[in-house]
Amino acid sequence: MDARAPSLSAPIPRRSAWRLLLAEPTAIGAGCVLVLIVVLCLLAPVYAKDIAHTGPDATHVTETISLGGHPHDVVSPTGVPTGPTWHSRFLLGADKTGRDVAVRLLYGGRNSLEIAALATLITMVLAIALALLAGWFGGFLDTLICRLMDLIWSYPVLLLGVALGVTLAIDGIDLGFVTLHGGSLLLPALIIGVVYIPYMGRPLRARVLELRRSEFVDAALQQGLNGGRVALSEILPNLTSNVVVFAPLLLANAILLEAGLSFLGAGVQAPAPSWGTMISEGTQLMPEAIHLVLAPGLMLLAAVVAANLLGDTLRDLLDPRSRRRRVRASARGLTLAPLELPPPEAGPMPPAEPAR
Amino acid sequence: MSSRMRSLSPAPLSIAAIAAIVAALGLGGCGGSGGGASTASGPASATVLDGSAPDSLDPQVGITTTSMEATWNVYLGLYTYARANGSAGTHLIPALAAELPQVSDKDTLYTTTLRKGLHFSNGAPVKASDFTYAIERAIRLNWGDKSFLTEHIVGAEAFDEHKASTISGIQTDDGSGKISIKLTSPYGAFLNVLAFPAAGLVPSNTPMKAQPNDPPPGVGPYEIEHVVPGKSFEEAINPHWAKEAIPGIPTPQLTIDVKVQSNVGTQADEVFDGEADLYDWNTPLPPAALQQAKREAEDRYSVESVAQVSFFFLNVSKPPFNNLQARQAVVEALNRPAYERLASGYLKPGCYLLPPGLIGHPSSPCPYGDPESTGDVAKAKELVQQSGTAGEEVTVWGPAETPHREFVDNFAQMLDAIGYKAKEKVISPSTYYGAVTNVKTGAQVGFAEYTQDFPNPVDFYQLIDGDFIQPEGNHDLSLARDPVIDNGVKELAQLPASELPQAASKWEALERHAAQQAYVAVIGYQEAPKLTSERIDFGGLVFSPVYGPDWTTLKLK
Repeated sequence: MDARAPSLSAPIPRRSAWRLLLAEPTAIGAGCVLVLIVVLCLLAPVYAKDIAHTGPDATHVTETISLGGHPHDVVSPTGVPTGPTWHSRFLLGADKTGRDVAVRLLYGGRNSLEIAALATLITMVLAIALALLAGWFGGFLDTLICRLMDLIWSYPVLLLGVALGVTLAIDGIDLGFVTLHGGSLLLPALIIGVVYIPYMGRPLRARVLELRRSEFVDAALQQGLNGGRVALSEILPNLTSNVVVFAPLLLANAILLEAGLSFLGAGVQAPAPSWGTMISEGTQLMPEAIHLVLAPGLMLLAAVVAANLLGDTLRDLLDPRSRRRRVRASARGLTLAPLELPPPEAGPMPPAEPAR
Repeated sequence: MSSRMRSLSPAPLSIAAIAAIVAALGLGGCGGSGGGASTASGPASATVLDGSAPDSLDPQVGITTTSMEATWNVYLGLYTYARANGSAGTHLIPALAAELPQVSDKDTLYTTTLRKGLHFSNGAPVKASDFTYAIERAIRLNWGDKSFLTEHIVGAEAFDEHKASTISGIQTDDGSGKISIKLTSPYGAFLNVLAFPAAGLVPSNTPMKAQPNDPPPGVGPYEIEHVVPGKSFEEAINPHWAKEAIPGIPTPQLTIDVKVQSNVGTQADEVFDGEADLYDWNTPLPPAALQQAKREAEDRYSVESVAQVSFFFLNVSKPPFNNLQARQAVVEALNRPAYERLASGYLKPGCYLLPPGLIGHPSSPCPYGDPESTGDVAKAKELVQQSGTAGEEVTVWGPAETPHREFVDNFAQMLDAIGYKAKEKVISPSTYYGAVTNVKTGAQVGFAEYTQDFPNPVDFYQLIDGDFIQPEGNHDLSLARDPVIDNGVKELAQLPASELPQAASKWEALERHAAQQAYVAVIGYQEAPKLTSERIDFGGLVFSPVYGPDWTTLKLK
């Protein structure tokens, strides 16, 4: 083994982790794809205004475009939209209401990524908070939080999301201090964020329980620090690597769930585009206008695969058990099979280190 | 109203995939193939496809078009519609009654007599009191349009409220077959009410509970057999039918295997390939199939008119559409040809509430804009400015099904273009009509389509008649209360169907007034595909403007 390689039993310093990550071509590639998608989506208004000259919701049903010097219906009299023109207008074709697919693809990507990112953030914040409360205080609070997470986990994620999405799509949600309208993008983000809490919360709770029994935590308590401060200063920093590993995996799952919910009409509400709604609308015109499904489908595939690859690589780097497997496999000249997502109670568990 | 809303949306992909897998496994119902060869034991059969299963095959429960299409030839009532294409198919003819009724006592007493020697499909003789039982059963089983009975027949409301054990306004004599019906007030469309399959006679010993999977015997050319809920059923030729010989009602030549096929693409393929014989007229052909039909099946494909209107209601009880100029602006800006394309060509642009072909549909030009034009947005913008409503927020409601979702997208975009801030509220079709017909929802603008209950202008006018405003199940979605319309309808509703042609000019005047007030922004009238397999005599198949293809006229070439 290379003398410079980090010890398998010791935590990886963050700088080392970063260097290791940069040495992984898969991670670099996946990261670049993700960044490219994000940048393209952020540039949606520029593309719409200066290149396509139309907005994401602007309909052009009875208009014509010039293709090869000949006028061409944006939408035919029988309702079939034009396919990709490979010109600035209707680059990827039109949808059934004569909207520019390329423009909607970028705006849809913004919505999809915004929701997924927000949902991931909501999951992370709530999961960490609940895991700390349950793992640190234990007892009745632990039981209550665990059963609550069991309750959420016991419903299939998509079904729970659809049930919440459909229910809230009409009237939105009014919690007194905050009101979300039916069409708000925060609604699907909130729904996705909540349904994934157990996915992250349960392994984090197990990790907090383990850390709670560590010597450095005992030492901190014996020095007279109060429990809350110890939890925040000694336990929380030790959850970082777990959270870093979970984040891209959660992001990928959130993108997929958002697409699923929107496909079923329980996510992003019309006329706002998302990759899921675009695929849903496109299926109505299969196979005549296959571009309506292909364009958002490929973007969705690229984003989810990139986020998953990044997450898997991070896990391989930060999870000592994964690293151990990698080293053994390398020693035998084997290629690693893709890793399955960890079950809720078996998340990546790097060894603890006292907070510095 | 929702009861007669017809779904146009093709099946979601997942359902299509499941249907395809089920079909591939040979589990797709027991309708059998459309081969329909004549067997030694009986007549040949034809396979008819339905995009969705009938809500019920019990005549006193079924309310959807697929249900009535199946039951109108199984459960004849006292009267029925002529088996004819076009407007001739809206004429009422005696079915189980020997003649058209005598109407007396200031048009409130209908008297008629049953034909002699009638039998149900199980062989039991038909009695005049079976008519009373059928009406009572429709009320007790909460038939969706039972208000047509409870509001007009003396004593029907009391029976509905369990204050009476029978309907006092219906008197029958089993010996002579005489039936008399007393109405609370003159109602010109009452014979149309008696022509509903729900008023079709069933034996008095039929259980007073819904029988969707084992429908009761009736009197008609067909009887229903072998019901597989949600998948298929069969209409066999009624063995007693030949004896009845009711003039104007054809004797069927084929038994009918009805198969539910929710995937419209598969439906079309099955008809093109000869595996099925009749495409579901409630479902527009998908674009690829439409092109194939025009290319390869010109001699067995046509587009038929149905009495239906598609529109956006404009709620006049709240801004901005409590302002006439604002409503006028919307109608001026409508790009109706766009809606025609969104409906894959199955929508005839128009501006009046009454569909063409129905008495009262005006021949005069539309008051605001030309239905064939793409809309005058500039003029509409001016009108919005003049109305002082520019910049107001408008929420457009719609059902999440193709092409209605696209209609809503297009309408909202148009509202933005003329100066409003439009938002969309597109919800599940299963909850949509329940939501917008609830006055509490306060829907500001929304899409709706209405298919006639019967061919009489009064049926469409409940859409803008203030007397039809009710907290739930509201028909007047615009909440319009216009004395000219309300009083006009009240007067014209009393005219018997036979006098409708003479009242055409009065209905037309009312139509022009309604269009000028723009309570609803009519976009057009839906049309339906008629597509058969090669082996069917296409020209001989009658397409009723009320119930669609008349299966009794299906015959092999």
